[in-house]
Amino acid sequence: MTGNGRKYRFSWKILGDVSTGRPNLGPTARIEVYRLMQYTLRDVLEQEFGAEKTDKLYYSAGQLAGKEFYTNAMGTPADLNDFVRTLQNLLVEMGIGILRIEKSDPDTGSFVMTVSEDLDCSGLPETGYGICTYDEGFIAGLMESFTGVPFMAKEIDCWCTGDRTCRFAVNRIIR
Amino acid sequence: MADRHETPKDPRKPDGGAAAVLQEIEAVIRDGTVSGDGFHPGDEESQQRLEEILSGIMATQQFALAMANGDLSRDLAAKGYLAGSLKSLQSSLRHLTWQAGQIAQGDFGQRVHFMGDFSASFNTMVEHLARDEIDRTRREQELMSANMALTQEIAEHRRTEEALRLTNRKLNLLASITRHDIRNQLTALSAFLYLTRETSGDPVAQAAYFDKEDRILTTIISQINFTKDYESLGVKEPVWNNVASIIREVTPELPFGSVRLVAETGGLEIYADLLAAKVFYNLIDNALRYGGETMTEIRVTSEETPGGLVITVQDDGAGIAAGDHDHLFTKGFGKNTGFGLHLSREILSLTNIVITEDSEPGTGARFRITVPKGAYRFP
Repeated sequence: MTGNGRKYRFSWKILGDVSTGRPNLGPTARIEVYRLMQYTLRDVLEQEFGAEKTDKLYYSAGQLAGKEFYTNAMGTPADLNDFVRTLQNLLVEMGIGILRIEKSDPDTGSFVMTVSEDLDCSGLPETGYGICTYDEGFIAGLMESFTGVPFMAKEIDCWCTGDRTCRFAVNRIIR
Repeated sequence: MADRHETPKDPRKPDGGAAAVLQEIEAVIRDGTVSGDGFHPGDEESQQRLEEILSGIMATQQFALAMANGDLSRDLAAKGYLAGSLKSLQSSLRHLTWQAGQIAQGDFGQRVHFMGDFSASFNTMVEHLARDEIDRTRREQELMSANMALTQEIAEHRRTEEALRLTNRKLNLLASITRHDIRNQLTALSAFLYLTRETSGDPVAQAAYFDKEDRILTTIISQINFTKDYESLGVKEPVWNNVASIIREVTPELPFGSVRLVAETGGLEIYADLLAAKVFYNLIDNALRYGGETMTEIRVTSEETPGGLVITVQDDGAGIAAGDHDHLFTKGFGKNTGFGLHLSREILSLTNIVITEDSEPGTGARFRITVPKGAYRFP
């Protein structure tokens, strides 16, 4: 137990030393495996807690991932452009997706960005509703870590709603 | 393709209905409008579906047309492969627009990926822009450096010019003063030589005159030596002159007789040219020359005022004639050689010190030397 009744608390170290652990298979795995885990987990969570609660859990998990990713993988970007460029390169390098910025207004904290060939959803069947709640949280966590103020990301187009790219409206939360 | 007006409208004829539906869709795709001729494909549900399809096609067309015209702000509610592809294109165009804006603001790190040949062309263009920017910045810096060097060179040139001008002015002053002083001494020497000759039968008187002539020659030698010292020292920079000291140094050669000299300047020092000593010599010499027999005292005092420090040289002699006040400092004016006060003003002005005369009738002569703040001190 790690305290407060918790058995496990995320830390970047828990991702392990892949080069040592997988000397032959290496650091990559097929997307289906990732999605298998992602959607079976969602299925079970939905059964247990319902769709709305599951979305919240996925958003929170994505948010935590975004913050950890920023802290452990992105260094210290000098400015917004540097942040975007670094993120774009990392997302491509890791096969997560192709990030593009459509609009940015740092003064008001308002952004529109898209992710194509998204790890989570690109190629999924059309369901009529957005599926990328984990991505929403991930983007919000990244933005919060970069700016130091909380952000909210909302997917407005998704492969699963019949679009070819996922589009997110990202806005600073005014308390 | 069958003509629209010849299309059977009987919903009970499936073939005719399907053809009509196709014709309607074709019209929307080709013309961008619904025929609106009251066509009914069948039941209400089918009619509604057809209207939704036609409406979606038209919305997609309008979305594509707006984008073709450069309007990337539109939203498209329609879903599906075609609408999705167009929205993906819109996303790419919006991103390119954003990138172009960033590049315009100087971020040449922007790159386009996964857009085929366009990516390579765009990225090459940005790399060229970045290199051009680096070149431009380098050239700007070179120009700035050259400009700065040129500015410094011009400033140095001006300083040299000013130094030369000042040096020339000082040397001219020195030559004038020396000429003036030596001429005064020669006049006196000439007079004493005459008296020596006239008293050939009186060895005691002659010996006294010889002494005076010796002193005059010593003074002339001293004045000539001063020009050498001045060339090596005074012509360069002003110095701190202790007023009491220079008065002590210049007065021994002057014929005070019963006149008392009082210098109440304490440790006052003024930042002035070395020739400043000549100014005090000249003022005291003038007082002795023109003060008259009733004069008993020459007094030098100093007082700090809001406008600087004022040194007053005042005597209780005959004073200055009313008509002479306005011309005292004019070159060539005076009972002696006419150089003294004009040269005094010139010497003092080298360090922005001002000399004026403000005697009052019946109270002797009074000169005021105003030294600006920062150019005097009491160490």
